[in-house]
Amino acid sequence: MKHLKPLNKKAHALTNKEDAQEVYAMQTVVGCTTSTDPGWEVDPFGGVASLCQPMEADLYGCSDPCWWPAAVPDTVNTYPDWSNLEDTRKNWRKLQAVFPED
Amino acid sequence: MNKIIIISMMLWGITLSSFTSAKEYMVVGARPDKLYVIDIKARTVEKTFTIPDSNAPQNIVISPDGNIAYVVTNQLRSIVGIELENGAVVFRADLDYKDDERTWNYGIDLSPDGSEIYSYDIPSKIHLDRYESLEPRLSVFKTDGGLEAAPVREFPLPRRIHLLMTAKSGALYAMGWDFYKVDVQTGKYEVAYPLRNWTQKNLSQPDALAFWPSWDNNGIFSTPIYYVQEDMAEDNMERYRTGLLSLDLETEEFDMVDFQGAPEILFSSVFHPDRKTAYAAYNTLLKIDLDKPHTAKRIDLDHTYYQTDISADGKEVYVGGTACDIAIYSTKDLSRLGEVALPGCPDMGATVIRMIHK
Repeated sequence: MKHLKPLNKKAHALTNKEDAQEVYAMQTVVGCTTSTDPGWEVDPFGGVASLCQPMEADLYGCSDPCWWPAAVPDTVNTYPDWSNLEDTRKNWRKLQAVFPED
Repeated sequence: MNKIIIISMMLWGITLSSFTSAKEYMVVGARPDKLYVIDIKARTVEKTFTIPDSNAPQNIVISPDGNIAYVVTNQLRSIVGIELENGAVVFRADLDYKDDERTWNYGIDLSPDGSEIYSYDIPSKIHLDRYESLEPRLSVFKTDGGLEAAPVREFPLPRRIHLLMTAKSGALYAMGWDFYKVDVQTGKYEVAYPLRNWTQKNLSQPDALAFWPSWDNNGIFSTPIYYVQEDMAEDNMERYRTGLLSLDLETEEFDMVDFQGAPEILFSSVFHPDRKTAYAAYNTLLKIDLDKPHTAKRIDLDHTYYQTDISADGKEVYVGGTACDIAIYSTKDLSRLGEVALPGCPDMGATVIRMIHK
């Protein structure tokens, strides 16, 4: 650790934290990410017929119960107000990207 | 056995005939914070209420008298009770009731007399450098607990539960990797129907996505369930099977019927009140013959719908969730009968449909 310098706020906080633990690989899914399903690219049969149609029909059904946080922002924990649109089938161009904050 | 089924059907017949004297409504939520009461036969939204602290309403349970909707809100961490007559908030339970927790609800139901709420809570502790998964629990609240309801009992439950349902006897059933039966007084639970640990001959472990209550008008939970018939050749597509798993909430008997291969994904199903047919939906809507289990009819839907439900008279099947419309089809031939579009077209997302009679 002596060759590592904290760069952001969270890293500084961890440097001063006495009970910080060593990093270890997750053995189980935790928090929001309880699903390891694939994204919206392919259905269970290797095709596209059983994907949600259109994709927008599945958008908030995935973000609100935090089903596919890899594909959409996590509206349960970190971005509750993300792109709160009406009728996403019509307004999908207004969907926004999100960026982690320090 | 047949006698039990006949008595059960008679009891449900009595219950359903009492429904016919009351008006039938559908209750649904939509983003970000609306709860709608729909006169489903008139195809109109009769009332609209605002749900406190909501960015996306999730599960909904209605009191037995049809007066109060208990809605999961506040990013899954609170349950609020809303009077369906005037929108007044008469109950609130915040599930982060222990120190330093981030808790979310993934299952809710009421006791048969409406006096208690059962909530499946998944707590995590958020440390600076890690999340710590805490033990999932069943929290029991009194429905007369007011706006700062505190749990009156709590018990540990297994992980991965996603749907709670209360039988007429008061026993609580919880669907997860297995189907559990829970004593809500003692917290003692047992596997009532093994799923991940089932030992069905020549069948692989099953897979199901059961989030939707489908028992309001028929007294029976059902869900599509998928598995592989392992004694079939690997290049035989018929080895991938679809069944319907059901739990009769009156007799507490489980059943599973295999009705087709796996040509499509189905998210939810609902039994007809006469228990002779069932309906299942996602990108297609199926009518399933339960006497000689097979798909009697299939139509394409105009977009994906998550939930399937049915009218008390068994004449109309409803599909909803995802977008802002509830589509209505004839249970007889799956012809389109109409739709209800929510005002302003807000997405329903993963919220649910409930059917009530008032």
